[in-house]
Amino acid sequence: MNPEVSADLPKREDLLKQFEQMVLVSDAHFHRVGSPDEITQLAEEIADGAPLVIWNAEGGTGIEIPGPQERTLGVVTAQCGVAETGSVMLLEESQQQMLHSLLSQELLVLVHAENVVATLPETSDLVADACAKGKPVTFLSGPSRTGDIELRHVSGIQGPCEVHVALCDFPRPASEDDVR
Amino acid sequence: MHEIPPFRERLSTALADRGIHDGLTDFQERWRERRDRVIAGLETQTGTGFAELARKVAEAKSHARHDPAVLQEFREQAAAKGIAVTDAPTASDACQIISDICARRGTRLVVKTKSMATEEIFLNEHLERQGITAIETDLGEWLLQCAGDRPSHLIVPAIHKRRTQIAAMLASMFDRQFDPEDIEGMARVVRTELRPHFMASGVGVTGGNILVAETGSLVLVTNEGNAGLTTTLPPVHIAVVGIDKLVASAKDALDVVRLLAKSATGQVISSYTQFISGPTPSQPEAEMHVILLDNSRSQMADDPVFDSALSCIRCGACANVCPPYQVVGGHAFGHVYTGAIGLVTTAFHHGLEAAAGPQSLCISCGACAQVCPASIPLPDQILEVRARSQPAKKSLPKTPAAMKIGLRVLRSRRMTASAAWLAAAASSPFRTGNLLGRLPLRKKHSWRTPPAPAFKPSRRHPELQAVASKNKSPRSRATKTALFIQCVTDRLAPEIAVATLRLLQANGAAVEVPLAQHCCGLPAIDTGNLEAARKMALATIDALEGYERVVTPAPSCAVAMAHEYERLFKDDPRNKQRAQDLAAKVADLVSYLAACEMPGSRDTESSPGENSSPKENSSPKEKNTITVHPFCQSRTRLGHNTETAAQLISHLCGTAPIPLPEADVCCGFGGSSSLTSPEVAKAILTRKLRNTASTGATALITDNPGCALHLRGGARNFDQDLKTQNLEVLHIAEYLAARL
Repeated sequence: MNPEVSADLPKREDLLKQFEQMVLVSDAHFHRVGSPDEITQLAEEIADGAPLVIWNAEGGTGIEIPGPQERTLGVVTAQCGVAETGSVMLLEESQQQMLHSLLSQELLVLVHAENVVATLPETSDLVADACAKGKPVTFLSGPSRTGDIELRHVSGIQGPCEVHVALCDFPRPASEDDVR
Repeated sequence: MHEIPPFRERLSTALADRGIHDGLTDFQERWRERRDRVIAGLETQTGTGFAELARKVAEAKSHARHDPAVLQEFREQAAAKGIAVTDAPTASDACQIISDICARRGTRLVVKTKSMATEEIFLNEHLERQGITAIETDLGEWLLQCAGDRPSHLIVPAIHKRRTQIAAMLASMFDRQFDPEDIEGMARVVRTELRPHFMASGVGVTGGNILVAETGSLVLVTNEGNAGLTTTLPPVHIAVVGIDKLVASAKDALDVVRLLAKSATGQVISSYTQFISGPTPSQPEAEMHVILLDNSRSQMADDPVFDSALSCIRCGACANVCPPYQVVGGHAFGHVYTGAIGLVTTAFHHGLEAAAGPQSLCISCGACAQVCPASIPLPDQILEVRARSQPAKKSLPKTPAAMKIGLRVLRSRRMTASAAWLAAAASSPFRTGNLLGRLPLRKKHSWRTPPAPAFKPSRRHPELQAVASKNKSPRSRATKTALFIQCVTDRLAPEIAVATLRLLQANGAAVEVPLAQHCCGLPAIDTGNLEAARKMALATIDALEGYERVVTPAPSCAVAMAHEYERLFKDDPRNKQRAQDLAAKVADLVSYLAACEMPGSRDTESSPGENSSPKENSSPKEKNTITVHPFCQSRTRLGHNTETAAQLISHLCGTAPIPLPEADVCCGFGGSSSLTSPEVAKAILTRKLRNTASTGATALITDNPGCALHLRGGARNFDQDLKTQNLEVLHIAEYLAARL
């Protein structure tokens, strides 16, 4: 992260508020979850009986491509969120994995609160590192959409009709990144 | 090779199609509001302004195309990631490379994303000749492909198609009814219709928004997500990318991304911004190719006038603000590339002849350069293409004879004087006041009432004669202010010249009217006749050289002297210096008065009476009955803002004009273009008059004589229900002088 850019940023909560606001501007739904259990609950609510395709969980491989009208809820974890644009940055091992964020009719994206940055340029090092390793990076900002017929906004053209961004605002398990 | 009809045919078709005009009017209004909002948001949220970011983007792209190390780095990084990079010097080279790959992979079905580079090289037509089917997967492009049509906008390709046309086409394709009001249903057809093609195709072809040298990556920006499927489902991905799309770093790429959607659609960002850095490994025998398309881009980069056009990020903002584009759409206003940038790049990618036709549609309002996110000086480049396409014009319909004669006559002051007198005499029977209300005009001009030529030019008015001068002494000139009348004002609106003189004198200036002055040469510059323009410019420099300052009621002439003369004499150091000296002294009347009356703060609103008392004789009943249309180039070339002229009136008269909606949009005059394309001028004028009528003002004030005459003649004759027949249209000098 670039300290120069971060220097005069609003405080943390302001940043998260801005992220929320811009996620909504991008026509995605916004949720704030306080525990892992709430994520499960949220996913079940959104899925409403549709099959869940939890994608970039550990060991996720292989791909069953659902039909274009088949209702599924994809779940992915984002590398970071960008308050400036309300985008989530998806970083996958391969382009093939990226398909998942496209092929589900609904998509739930999890992003950890501490991974929300203020501006797009602040992600440039992350992007450059991933690209240098040949990994695909996607900034996802709202549902798949078009305005091609008389500028009328229609979502779900090729990718998801609905995108839900869940801001995970709880301390990560100590084992994950804070081993002492 | 391709089937783009000749320009005149495209223009007639466009003018006859109401859908284009309606669709684009709707789009332009919404786009402007959204774009301004997200640009302002960028500034407040991140502290980064549009101008600063546009400059960064221009610099980053310029650096990448001029430093060979950047391209070399891209090649090496891409190769290291298994991407095959191939150079395509020409359009046909690029087509051949792609069909060769298809042949080697044995593929007969290709899926495509929307890509202007593939439109530029006519890839679909080439593949079809090779027996390969290319299917467009962007909704707009797919609809156009099904209709046998082609894009008319860089970003919203099917903007010219109305919902009813689309419903009828889908109904005949799928043999079932489509409700034109169910846009969602029509749009979602592609989801089911195209999925099997994605699965079955052997090759996915995309363009590329950006190439990143440091990582060898391709950046694709889409809203529909079709690029994600095109680059992943087929085993082979081919990206056709102009060499101008290169930047050095991911950071530079993100700056482009920051401006792209904001400028294109008024979105904060598009739904999908993908960085792709290699083939899809899980596909059998996956391949990824980047075809670096030159197709005369190197030639552009070597040309100092056009090099900066390669900084274009293909957002289409220059089309979105363009008043004539709004009337005729991209099929007429452009070739393959549309909008202002299309008027420039077509000359290189498709030849001067293809570029020549649409040139006459540009009204030189300069709005395009104001919104360009890569700081490209589009109006200057368009004028240069006009000059260079003069020879190519031979194959086009000729310039109207009257215009040719007019230009010829304008070159000589004496001939103009005789011709103007003759015109005045001949037009007597048709006069109604200072307009030719009874002149029978051809149908396409019937919406306007032309101004009546004056028997006596303004220079023979007693007040001007009193200060008329043949003075050539530099010493005596050095303490005087020259009034540059403008040829149009002199002969068609002498009252503006008299009013200007009175204002200058009231302001204490020692005014002289140099008698050797004539036309500044702007009409010749506008039509690209630079030889004639130089002669007229030199005569004007002779007439005005050495004066302490030069003031004109015509900001259009001030623009010519301040900006175009230097360009005319770029290869002539002596006259270039003389032109620069004149440029430093010339001012349009509004700038001059604003600088005198509101010292130091042209841009800040000063309340009446702060610096000098408002004139007492402005009666209270006058309050709020005027509105102001500022001349486009006063804003785009002379440093005014939208309110400069209105603030001057407010300050001097104590009357605050009513704000005019879309004040920044041209009135349709555009110099000679209102004569060559009267149908377009009429449509633009309608928009201006509709906005004027909405204010309820009884008088419309403007700061350019040409616009005043155009608006006056149009308002008078207007056939729509706008009730502008009694609208008084005045030049700002007339309005202010009447209140001295």
